[in-house]
Amino acid sequence: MTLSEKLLAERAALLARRHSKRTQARPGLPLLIVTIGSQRVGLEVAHLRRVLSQATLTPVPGYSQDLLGLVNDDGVIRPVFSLERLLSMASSENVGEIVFVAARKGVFGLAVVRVEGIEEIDPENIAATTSELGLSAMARGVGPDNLLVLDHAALEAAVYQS
Amino acid sequence: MSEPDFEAIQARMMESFTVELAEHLEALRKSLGRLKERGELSSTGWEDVLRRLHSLKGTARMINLPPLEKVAHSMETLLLKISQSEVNLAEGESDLIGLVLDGMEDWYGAHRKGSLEPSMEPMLDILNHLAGGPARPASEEYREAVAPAIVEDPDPPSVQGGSVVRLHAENLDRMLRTSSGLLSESLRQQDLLHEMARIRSAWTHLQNTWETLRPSSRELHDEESRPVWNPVHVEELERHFNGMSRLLRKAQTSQRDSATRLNELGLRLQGEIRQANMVPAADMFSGFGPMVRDLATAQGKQVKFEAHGWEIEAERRVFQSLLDPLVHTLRNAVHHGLGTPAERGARGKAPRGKIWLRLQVLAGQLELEVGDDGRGIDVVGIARQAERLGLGHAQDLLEQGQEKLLGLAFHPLLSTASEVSDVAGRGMGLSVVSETVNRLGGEISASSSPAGTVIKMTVPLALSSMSALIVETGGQKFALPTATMERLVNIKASDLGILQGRPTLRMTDGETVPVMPLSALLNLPSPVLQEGPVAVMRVRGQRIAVGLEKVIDHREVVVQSLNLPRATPPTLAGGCILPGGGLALVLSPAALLSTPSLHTSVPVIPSAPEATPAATAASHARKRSILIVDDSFTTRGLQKGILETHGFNVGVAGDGVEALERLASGQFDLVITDIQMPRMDGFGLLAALKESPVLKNLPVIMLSSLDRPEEIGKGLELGADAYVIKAQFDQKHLLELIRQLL
Repeated sequence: MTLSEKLLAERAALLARRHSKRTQARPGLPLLIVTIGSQRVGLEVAHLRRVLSQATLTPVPGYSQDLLGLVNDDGVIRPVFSLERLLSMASSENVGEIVFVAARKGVFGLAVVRVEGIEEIDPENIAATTSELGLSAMARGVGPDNLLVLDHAALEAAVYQS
Repeated sequence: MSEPDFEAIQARMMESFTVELAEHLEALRKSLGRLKERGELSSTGWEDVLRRLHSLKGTARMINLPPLEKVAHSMETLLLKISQSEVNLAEGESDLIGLVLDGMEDWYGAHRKGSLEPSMEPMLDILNHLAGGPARPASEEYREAVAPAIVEDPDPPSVQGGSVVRLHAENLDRMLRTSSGLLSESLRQQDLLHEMARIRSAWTHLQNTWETLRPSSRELHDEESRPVWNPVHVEELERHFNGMSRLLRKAQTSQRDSATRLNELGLRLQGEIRQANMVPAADMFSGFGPMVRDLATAQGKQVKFEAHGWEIEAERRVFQSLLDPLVHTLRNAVHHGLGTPAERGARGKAPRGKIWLRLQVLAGQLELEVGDDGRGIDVVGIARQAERLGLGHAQDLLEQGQEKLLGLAFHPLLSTASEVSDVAGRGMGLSVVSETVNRLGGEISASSSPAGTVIKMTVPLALSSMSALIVETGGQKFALPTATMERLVNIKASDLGILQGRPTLRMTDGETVPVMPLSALLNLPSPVLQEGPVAVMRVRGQRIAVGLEKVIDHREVVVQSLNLPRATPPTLAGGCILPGGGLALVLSPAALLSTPSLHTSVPVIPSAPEATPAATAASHARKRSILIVDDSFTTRGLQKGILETHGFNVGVAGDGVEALERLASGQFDLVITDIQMPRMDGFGLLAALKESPVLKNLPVIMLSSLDRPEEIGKGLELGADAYVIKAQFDQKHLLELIRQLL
């Protein structure tokens, strides 16, 4: 099963759980774990579309530096942003894979160095962050093994408003 | 032309208006929000608000929605006063305007459903009061007055069955994008074709090696003098060899046929979806006649409205975008141009005036002409208004000549009307027209005389797909629309000059035009102007040469949105997917030619040292010559430029007779000919070539828009080596064909 297929299967399971009348739903929050530099980052699977490897990016002259370029996503042109730059981290310019995120205003890609896979994290184990930590405003909290869990709404706001 | 179905036209116009109203209301609400928050709007913010209300008023009038028209007019009056600080809103009063916008939406919603519409009187009272009139209903009172009148339609009309299916234009656009993706994917089959050819070649090599080794295999014996190879096994091996060869041959043929067919079907699908997106002008504009007559009657004027070229088809989105500009222009023609019978009589004109809307297709572009035989544009009035707006002294402006002065008529807020009426007069109309036409990548011009006024607009026939030159600069691919391209030429450093520090190009017609590399216009790093292909563009009367590093292809592209979260750079009109799946950014020529980078200086790479006579001779010996025969100057120029950039010597002829003359006096290796031409068509030329003992073996490619099987068959029967349909024209395919035939 490819990662994209796993992602779709996980999302389908998530949707099925949401519509299930059973009260005993699994407590875990499915996250796609990606790495940028030495940092592991978790993205909520519920908002993800697919993962694309080996894509050629087309730069857009005169556009914000956060945008790495455009990519052909099955016949539709999509913008791809650098997750490193959005998180104000030193950019390695290393685009390994692209994770497509569904937002209310459209779909955009996030360039990451590597996609590790899907993990289910107990939301109770995600510690809230404080401003003293100096983490990005997009951080929802910190999970086990210093996993930086991103807040989808804040990510969307960063892409569409910055 | 048959009488169009008025109800169907009205329904389509309402459909467009629904989208337009929603857009205007959303933008107006945002602007009001900003006004409430900051207590003021920028001058461009006010221009936008007033323009939207003016548009709304015009379209509402055209599709016969008087209540909406009245409210839009009153709101325009109020907001104009606010913008000019004649009226100051008290706290909370901007909310009342928001309520009126809600009321307009409610009214239109009820109207579309066929329900009882709420009264617009409370809204007019609110607006009149805020503008300084008497009534002042509180917002609660307004809500009470309006709310009971909004009745939900309990039984909405069902969609009737039949042979007509309503499809949202957005779905058609999506289908077009998908077909473009399919086509790109089908072209990847070419890579597979090459792979198959390589496998087969490797297999043939293996088979040949075996054939060489086979005789000696019989002589191989082991220590006990028994043959090493069992003859039965050898036979079996050979059987497998032959079987495998047959299988590979069959798979290769089947894959090649399938790839060709897939490509053909993809092209056909794309063409059919494009066609489904095209509508005749009559479908969209038939309401203009009654509108013009009603407007004239309301002002005591007599008019004859003439429509020409309403059978011309263009993409629905183009006509929809032009609805508003045409309403404004026609309203202006009635109000400013026509004149009453008495006024006309005083000028020696017939009491009944004439207004016309003429459409025609010129050089692949749609030209719309709105004219009237009225009093002409008051150029002195324009100069005075321009002076009031700080655009210069009236006398100086008058001395600049009529063309420049008439250009000012498109300036926002400039009007020649002395009074404000509910029809025209705030001068917003022509600026709306100009902005829309520019946004479509088109051009607008005005001419005026005592005999009347003519406004001409030239826009593309389609927005979702266009003919474009695929070029590469700074290592990136771009699609440059050919609609505004005059010609493509190869320049040498010796063709360049420097004028006031900027590089210029001397054209063959004697004119000197500015030249700038594309990389500089796009602000790419290290722009350099060098020898090579240059596209000569003409936008809004301005001529400029754009240096292109490399021309890759000429093809029809499907333009997509870039889906960027924030505003797309103005120099980009969108993006397109290329064969093989790569992307190219589609450029906006109008924006490119108004970028400040146009006035920067760039380094010019000097010409290479003169080649030695021997090297020149060798270079000429390698070059092959092609004769292009086409009656279209633009097509000839474009093809010539492309073939020259690919290393061919190119000659041109305008028809079959001229082609025969050129062939008699020059040495050509191949002919590319159109079919429909004056004097001697392509079939005639082909027949003449085949009858000539000298020219009968000259390869001929027919490149025509004629696509019926009998026409293709006729071309091939007469001896054409290839027949390419222009609608399926692909530069790469043509170059491949040429290489095969040479």
